[in-house]
Amino acid sequence: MSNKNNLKDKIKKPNAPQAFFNSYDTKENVNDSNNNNNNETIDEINVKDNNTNNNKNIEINNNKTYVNDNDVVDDNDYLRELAAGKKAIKKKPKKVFTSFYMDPDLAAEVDKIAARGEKGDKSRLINQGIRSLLEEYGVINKS
Amino acid sequence: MTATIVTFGISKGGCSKSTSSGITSYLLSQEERVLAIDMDGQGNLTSFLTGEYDICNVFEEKTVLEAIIEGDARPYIIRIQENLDLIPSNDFLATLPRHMYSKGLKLNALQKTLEPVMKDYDWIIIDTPPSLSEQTILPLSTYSEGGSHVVIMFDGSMFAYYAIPKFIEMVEGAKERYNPNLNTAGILFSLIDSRAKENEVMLESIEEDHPNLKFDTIIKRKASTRRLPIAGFDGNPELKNALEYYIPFVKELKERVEQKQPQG
Ligand SMILES: Nc1ncnc2c1ncn2[C@@H]1O[C@H](COP(=O)(O)OP(=O)(O)OP(=O)(O)O)[C@@H](O)[C@H]1O
Ligand SMILES: [Mg+2]
Repeated sequence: MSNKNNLKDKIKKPNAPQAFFNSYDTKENVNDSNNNNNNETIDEINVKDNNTNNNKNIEINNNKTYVNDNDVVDDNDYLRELAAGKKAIKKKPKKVFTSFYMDPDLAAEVDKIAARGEKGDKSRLINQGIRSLLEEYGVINKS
Repeated sequence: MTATIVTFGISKGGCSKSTSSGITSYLLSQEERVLAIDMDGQGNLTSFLTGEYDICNVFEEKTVLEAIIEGDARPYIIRIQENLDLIPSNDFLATLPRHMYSKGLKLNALQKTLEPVMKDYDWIIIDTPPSLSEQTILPLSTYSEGGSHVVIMFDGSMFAYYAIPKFIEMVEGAKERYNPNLNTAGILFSLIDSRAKENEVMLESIEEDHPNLKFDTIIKRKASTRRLPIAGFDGNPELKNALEYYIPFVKELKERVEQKQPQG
């Protein structure tokens, strides 16, 4: 569910069918987090090919965030090697599960790079991208 | 061309959903290929079309429940007669939500189940229970290129009158989440007791609340219609009488559905 829907639900009380549909949003999450509760990374990127959506960029869904731990691992070196097509060595970081919408062109590139790696590399790449951006913005300290 | 889906529903019991979906399936199958699906654990549509009432034993593990869990309708389709097939149900359909939960299935699960057979039929006619539940929401959330429609049953009673907007909310919810082209074909008046003096007022109220949704055809109470599950369709001497109101209804339904048909 989008942020907009979340907000809407706070303003307008959902009717019974909406509550029913919403209950399936959480059910999916429960399952997802159950399947992955060993701190495994999750590659869940929803590509929404919707042309009205181009300015939406990244939409982080608060409902879908499951915090396992706050450990942060810098995957920069690993990803640099992966992107260059070299043999990369993996670390096992702790992650938080979330889902969001990506621009289709970005999603395609990310998929291409991740296809060369292994499970979890998609998440690593996304994390690294946002990390760099937030460092540039001065929101977090350079690691 | 993929099948046109028509789901019969209303969250009020006894408004003739099973009777109407069964007769509609039968009438459409006279000329076109029809798959009827029973999404109500009562299995009334199943019994109506098969004549079988021992549904828990006869259809043990051969129902729409197993079809949805496996995500494939094909092994569960039974032949009723030429051009008319059925996916039966029985009381075990009550366990559907639990199975969906443990399998992580979403509300578009019936979509996946029907995909392999969508092109085998002209019509998929679905009967639903009188409740807000998976059994009702799954059909509403099933998209077809050939169109997905809803017939809302109304028996002229106060309880059903207030169930209509609630059912429309379900339709809207399914539309928003899974099935953007879902269309309400109309509200079908059934079982109207021609002597009841409030009928006129009910008809007017529906017209005001939901302009142009009411089907022109009104299904009147008929003993021969009520006897159909006993006598069956084959060799039934009063068949013509029993179907009298349903013939113009099906014609109207086809016209409405065609108007909304996605082009191409
Ligand atoms: N046109 C009709 N004339 C006479 N009796 C009818 C007619 N339509 C339905 N009935 C009878 O009304 C009763 C309720 O019909 P039906 O079982 O089809 O309703 P339903 O909406 O499917 O009920 P439920 O909500 O329990 O699934 C049945 O006994 C049926 O035989
Ligand atoms: Mg019924």
